[in-house]
Amino acid sequence: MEVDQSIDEKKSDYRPFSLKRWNACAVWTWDVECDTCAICRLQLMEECLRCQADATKGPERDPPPPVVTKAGRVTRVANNHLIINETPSPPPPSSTPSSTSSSMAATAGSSSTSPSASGECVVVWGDCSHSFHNCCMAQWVKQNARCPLCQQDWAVARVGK
Amino acid sequence: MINLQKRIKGVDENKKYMDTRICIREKLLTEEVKDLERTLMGDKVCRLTFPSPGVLHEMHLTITPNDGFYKGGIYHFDIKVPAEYNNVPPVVKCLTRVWHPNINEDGAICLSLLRENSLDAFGWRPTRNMTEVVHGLASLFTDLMDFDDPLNQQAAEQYQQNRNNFESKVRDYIYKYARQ
Ligand SMILES: [Zn+2]
Ligand SMILES: [Zn+2]
Ligand SMILES: [Zn+2]
Repeated sequence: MEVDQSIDEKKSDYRPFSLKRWNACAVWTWDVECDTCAICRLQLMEECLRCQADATKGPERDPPPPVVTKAGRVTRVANNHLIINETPSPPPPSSTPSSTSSSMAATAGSSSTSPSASGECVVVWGDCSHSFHNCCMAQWVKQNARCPLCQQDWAVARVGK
Repeated sequence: MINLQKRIKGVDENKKYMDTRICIREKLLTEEVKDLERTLMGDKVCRLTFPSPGVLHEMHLTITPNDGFYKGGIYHFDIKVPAEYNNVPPVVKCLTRVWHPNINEDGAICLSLLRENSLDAFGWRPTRNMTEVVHGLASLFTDLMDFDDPLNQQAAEQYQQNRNNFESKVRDYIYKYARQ
């Protein structure tokens, strides 16, 4: 043992060359692992397929009434059309801001199948760090409360844009 | 007030919901079918056709295995994609009579990725697509053949007891039912 150590020390004293200059070089990429929603396969930054489908067919098939009521209707302007979003089975719209109420969205028991209370198509991140449109995930968790990408139990970490 | 409105609109909303689902399915399938047709180009085993022109959610798949027990057989499948796609898997039926542990004689198919309510990682989920379904069905005649979890119990038991008997029954079925 002692012999070994002394050899090591001798070795560490020996320097074949010395470092005179050091150029550090770093590479970076965007930290967006999934910029598309794996469920509807559209960009997360855009609306989900469902919201787009509602938006494109809404005005042609069912012209929106000029009066905007507060009862279960959310109005929004997109592509220069006034769009009335009617959701299949929405819970009564809550008056709480979406940031607080949407923390409950996309959980297994949630009956919400629609855009969040504010009518916006938002993104939901799970504890597993996978992200989807909240609309898309809300539909899926009703069937299977696990992340479609990694199969972990789905738990919402964050909702927003 | 809201409830009354909802009740009056109930039927209408249901129709609207279905219209939206159908619209989603069409958009998903348009992309998927493009990919699928590209991957199947030049494929000797799988051939996909659409019986009704312009209808993407009804497909006909022909599988002609070029290896294994079922080599020489021609197997036809009917694929229907429900309106709730891709939250639910396509519904597939085998139209050709076959002696197979995972396809019964009525054409029902036991393939994990077609299972709607599956608790394991092998069942359906929206990240899957039609290309996986087609490849899964083709593999059912080769490496996905599963004698341990059979749908046709008799076929699986026969294989376990006497492999030659199983094989000759498979050949017999090919000769009788799977030649075109
Ligand atoms: Zn989506
Ligand atoms: Zn949406
Ligand atoms: Zn995940």
